[in-house]
Amino acid sequence: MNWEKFKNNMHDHESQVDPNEIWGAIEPEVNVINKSKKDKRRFLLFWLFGGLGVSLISTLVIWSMNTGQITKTDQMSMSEATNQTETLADGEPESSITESISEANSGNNLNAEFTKENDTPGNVDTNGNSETLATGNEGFPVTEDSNLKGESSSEKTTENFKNHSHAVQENKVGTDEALISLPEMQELINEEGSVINNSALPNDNETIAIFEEGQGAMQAIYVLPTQAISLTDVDDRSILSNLFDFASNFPLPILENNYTQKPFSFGVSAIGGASLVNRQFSQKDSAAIDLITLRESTEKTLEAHHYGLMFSLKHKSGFSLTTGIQRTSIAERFDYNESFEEVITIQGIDTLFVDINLDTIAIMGEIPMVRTTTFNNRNFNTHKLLDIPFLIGYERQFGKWNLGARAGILANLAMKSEGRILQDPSNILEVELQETPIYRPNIGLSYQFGLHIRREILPNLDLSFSPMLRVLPNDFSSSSYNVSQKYTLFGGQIGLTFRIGD
Amino acid sequence: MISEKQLIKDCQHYKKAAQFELVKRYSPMLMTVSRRYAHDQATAKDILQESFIRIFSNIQNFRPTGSFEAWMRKITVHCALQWLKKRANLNESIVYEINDWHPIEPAVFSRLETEEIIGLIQSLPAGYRAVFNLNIIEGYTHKEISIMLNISESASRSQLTRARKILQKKLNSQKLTKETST
Repeated sequence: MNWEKFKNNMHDHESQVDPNEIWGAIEPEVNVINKSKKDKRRFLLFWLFGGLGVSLISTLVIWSMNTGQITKTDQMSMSEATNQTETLADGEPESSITESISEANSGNNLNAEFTKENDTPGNVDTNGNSETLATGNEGFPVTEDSNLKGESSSEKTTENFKNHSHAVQENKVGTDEALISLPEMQELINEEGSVINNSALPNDNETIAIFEEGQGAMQAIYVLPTQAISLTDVDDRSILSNLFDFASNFPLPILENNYTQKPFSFGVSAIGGASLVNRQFSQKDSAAIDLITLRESTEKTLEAHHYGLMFSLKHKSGFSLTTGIQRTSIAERFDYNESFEEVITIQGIDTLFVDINLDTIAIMGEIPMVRTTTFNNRNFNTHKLLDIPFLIGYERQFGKWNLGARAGILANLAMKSEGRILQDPSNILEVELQETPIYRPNIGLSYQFGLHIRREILPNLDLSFSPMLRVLPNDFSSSSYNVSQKYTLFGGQIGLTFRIGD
Repeated sequence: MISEKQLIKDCQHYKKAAQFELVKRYSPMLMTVSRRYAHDQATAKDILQESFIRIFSNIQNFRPTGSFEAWMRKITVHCALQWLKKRANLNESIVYEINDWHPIEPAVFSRLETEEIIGLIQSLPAGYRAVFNLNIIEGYTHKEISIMLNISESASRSQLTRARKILQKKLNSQKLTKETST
């Protein structure tokens, strides 16, 4: 209780001191601290807001580029489609079609416009002529104009195609499975119009979209409902043949569709990963060899982990640019078995030499004894790094999978080291409390290379995995410390990417 | 008067006026801490100045969940220990005879002014002084002290014993002097 009171007295006691004198002595150093901290904050804010600004501007630019292109293409195509439809119909186009096209030309929701037409269920008359506009699941309009018996036009065509909606609803255009190109169609049907191989065609309840390459993009030239033209029916084979002839010989309206890939896409990723750590010590002067031996025997590298937020800009060619902010933590373990000896005296039987013949007698007395105590001093040291990565990548698509590689630099904004290390066998240093810092506050550039495997798990959401190698070639220790310390990390990271503008 | 919370916030934004206010407000309290570890006034001032520099450098790391005073006190203690490690031999005069220690009567402290006690603590050898302060006033265990001062645990115990013995002698003589003078 009294000790507690004594302790409290000491805690509450205030000594006489002149604060002005203390402030006067520390003010120059405080100014330096304020300046460096403010600069660091400004630097960080600059990168953070700069990065966000660049990302925002890039997003807007990409967005406007993509939107502009689609609108222009669709509007142009729709105009062409209208004209062509009128020509083919050789008369007044069916009023509902015209209305539909006009609405589409107004630049409104294309899906909505065409679904209105498609919502009417009905049976398909495979023996009649048909003509309409249809839309796929992806919302792009295609002209559907089936002169199934080689007749070019009539009001009947329009009548028949009004009942064609069920096939349109089943339209798989825009998905890989239901697309068939013109050369592929030619391989399936011989010159007499017989189907050579119908196993490669989509299922009966799907719609075949016939595409051909044109002007750097896939162009839908025809949409064919396979249910309407049963491939097992002999008559339908000739229908298909006629259709093919019609498609290849007659200048049908060509509509670009949204199967065309946009030039750029933007992605935001949350990443995290872990790595194995390889640390390389080297001596800056000849005296450092003992210190290296000492530190290697007392320190063990553990793992490194990192996490961050990335922004990536990807061109349709497969090349991408990635930046963001990343935090990395490298862990080490410090184990030091400290031993000390102390001499204690105990009361016991001792021997005393009594003559030159070394004869002894036993006496009671104080016997000095050496007591050795060993204890383990274990600490976990960390180097925490804040980096801005700049990575260039290339990837190729294989179905829903994307495989590629990424490489680039990581610019270190700051590094903070904590823990304990040995300076000599009897001197443990607290890393963060040293007046002369052991480690640098910034390690400059490091380099990273890795593979990149990405798979779509939800629309616009990808899961990625990247085995990677990161080399940190710059010395972690300060110039005043005589051991150089460098790192290489090998590990992997997983990421969740939200894609915009794909 | 500006609240402590606001003062901390302003210091975290590196406002110079707030930093000066912090020095004015907490210098006397922290000076007591540094005086307990230093052997003279000049050294205590050096430790105090170093402590403030470290406080301003690390104030961003302060979390308002704990006591700000305790945080600053801890920094001052670390600065003092740093100074001691550099300039003093903490292993000096390790004492082995621990059986002849007679417990000090702590009540004697209450009869003396705190300033006088600080003076007595300052007169202890550096190692004893550090161990005494860390154990009796800051409340660290011998194991913690052994790690902080890089000495053995038994050395910490024996230095504390020795420190208490010396203090006892000095307190008794001081008490005697006081009684004589009155």
